[in-house]
Amino acid sequence: MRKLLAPSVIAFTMALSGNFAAAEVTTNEKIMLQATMQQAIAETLIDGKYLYLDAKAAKVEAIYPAKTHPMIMRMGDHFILCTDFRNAEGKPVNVDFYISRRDDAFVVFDTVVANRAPIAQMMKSGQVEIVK
Amino acid sequence: MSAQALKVKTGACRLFGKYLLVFVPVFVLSAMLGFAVIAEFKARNAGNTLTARIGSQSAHIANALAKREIPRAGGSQDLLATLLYDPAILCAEVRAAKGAQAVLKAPRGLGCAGQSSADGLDIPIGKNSGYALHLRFDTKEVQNSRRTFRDFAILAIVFSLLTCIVASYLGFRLIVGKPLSALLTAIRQSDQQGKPVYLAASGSDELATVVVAYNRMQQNLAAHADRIVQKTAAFNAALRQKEELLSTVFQISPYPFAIIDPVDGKYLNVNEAWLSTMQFERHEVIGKTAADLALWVDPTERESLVGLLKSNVPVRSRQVKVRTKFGRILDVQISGDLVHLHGNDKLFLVANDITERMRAEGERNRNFVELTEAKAEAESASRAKSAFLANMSHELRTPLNAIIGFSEQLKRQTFGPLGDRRYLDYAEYIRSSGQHLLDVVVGILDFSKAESGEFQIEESVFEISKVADDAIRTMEIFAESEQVSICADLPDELPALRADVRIVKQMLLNLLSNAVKFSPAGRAVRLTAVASRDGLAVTVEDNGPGMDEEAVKLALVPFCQVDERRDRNHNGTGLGLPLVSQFIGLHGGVLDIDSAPGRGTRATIVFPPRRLIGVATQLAATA
Repeated sequence: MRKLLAPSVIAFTMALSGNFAAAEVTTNEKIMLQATMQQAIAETLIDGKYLYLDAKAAKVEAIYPAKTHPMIMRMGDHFILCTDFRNAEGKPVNVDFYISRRDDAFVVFDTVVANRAPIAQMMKSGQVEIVK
Repeated sequence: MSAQALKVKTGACRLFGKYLLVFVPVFVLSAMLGFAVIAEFKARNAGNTLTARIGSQSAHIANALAKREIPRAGGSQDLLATLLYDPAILCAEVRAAKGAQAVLKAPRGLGCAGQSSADGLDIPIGKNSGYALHLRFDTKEVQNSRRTFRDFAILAIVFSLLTCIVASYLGFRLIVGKPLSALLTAIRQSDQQGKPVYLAASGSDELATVVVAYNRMQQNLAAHADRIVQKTAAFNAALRQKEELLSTVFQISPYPFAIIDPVDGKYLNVNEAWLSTMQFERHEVIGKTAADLALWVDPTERESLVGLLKSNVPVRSRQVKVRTKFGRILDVQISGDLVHLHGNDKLFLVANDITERMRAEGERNRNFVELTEAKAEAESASRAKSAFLANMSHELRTPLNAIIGFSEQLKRQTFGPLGDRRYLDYAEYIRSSGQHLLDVVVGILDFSKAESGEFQIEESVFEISKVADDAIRTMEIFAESEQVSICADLPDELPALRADVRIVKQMLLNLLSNAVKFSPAGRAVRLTAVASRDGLAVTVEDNGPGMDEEAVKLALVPFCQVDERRDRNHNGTGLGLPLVSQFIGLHGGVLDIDSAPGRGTRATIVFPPRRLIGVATQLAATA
């Protein structure tokens, strides 16, 4: 029995503490981050549209906010939050918001539209962690 | 092979219990691990969802209030109250500054009074309004979610475990337990009945393979058992034969055998030779000890011998003395071994009665000593005799040659006439006497050498007829003086002879001399030779008085003359025939004397066939 129990406990512990190990962020901070992102989106909307420049296509695209991701990521002292938008055809477009702390509040300092490659690369290299 | 289907119900609890011992912990741990991982994910998601929901709602309300510019405007209170639709938000207030009095409250008129223990935060309303939305909320929702999931997980684990145990039991019972029970029952029956019990196999799974293997094993065991029975029977028969054979050998052996119990020393069995040698009856011996029978002259010897045998040291040909029933002491050689017979150790003794041999050996040893001493004396005497004869012959021949030579000169009157006729006669007497003495000395010397084995013959190949002619010519003067004629009958086709020519001539001269000497005047001596497959026979025959058997034996003894009165008349040395006998013996032949009183004498020397050259060709031509 001990032969079976020991590996099981070890696997259990590893599963809980492996990739999910990340810096703790309080619930208040999480809510503030989500609110900051929502306020930034609300402030940017023009007639309910969110406009951005598609550099490759060399034109301004319009997308509409659809669903907020509950997951929060951290890159050092900065946070990354994500919201799903949809274009006019209903196709989903992912927008990442890079947020930093200023005094007791948070502020969005960058927005990346439809480009998850940088985040994926940073997660792979360990620069970006998922906040518990 | 007769197939027998067995339906025996036996419990599979033991095996199934072992199975559960492994299965249950593994199942519980795996399920707990799985549910724990899922619960963790779920709790995180719930927490994040909660924060996203509160954040989004509060941000939207703050934005809406900001658009009204004056939070106190109509409808703002209602807008703020919508936040309470979210069960996680306990209260909300709009404040001009942190810690300032609330201008709007939800629940209306109450706000966050009395909610100090709950979590709270402030969200700015617009960038420059100076107002902030204050919220208080709790995270019980997340904890409740986690607790609910945990309770569900435990229930799921227990239910799954019970389901799996029941399913495993039924599956085990049907798939493994039943066929295994049948197999065990068959094995038990086979063991109890002592004969193979076979099982009917159906299907092709591992248990079917086991059943097939079991049947094959039973088949092989049965075949092996048959072979063992047959071999055992053959072995027992052979063993009985050997026992009978050994018993027969034991009983009829000329050597005394005895089997003794090593523990109490009692005789268990003895053979007929033992009874005969020791002069006992069987019933007097069996069950008795050697001490009871007073067999050993020295009982310590028996103790020593038995001690060695008990130590597993075999005894071989140990010479001891034993006493027969009637007190006769025997010398015997005893050999023995400790053998394992019929499950017990036995002393196996065999004796060899050497009493007669010991006595004969003692006598032979004494005779040998005497003979050795006698032989040494004889050899010493012979050597002394030979030395004496050689010296004497040498010392005698020198003056004899001078006597013979000078008497010959006197007889020939080489240096002038002697005068009186008697001087001539005396000179002749001196010469003939000297010659006789010289012949005697030469004969003694030759005989001595031949007798001692020192005489070396010088072989050459020659014609016997020529040698015979020379001998006859030599003897002619003497024969004429005796008024005896010598005639020879020698065939032309005689084979050549390999021998010592001087010795052969000497033998013929001796035989002719004897024949002439003992032939009456006017008679003839006859010399003949015959070659045959038996060799070459040369015979000298006379018409003398002849000899009886005793006289012939005497004639062959040196210096022993048959008719001393007559022999003295003929100046015999008594060495003629003995020398011939010795000389023909040196050539590997024999001297044969055929004589009888009044019938003359035939003396024949026979050379062996190997000394004849070309005899086969000549004999074939003769035939």
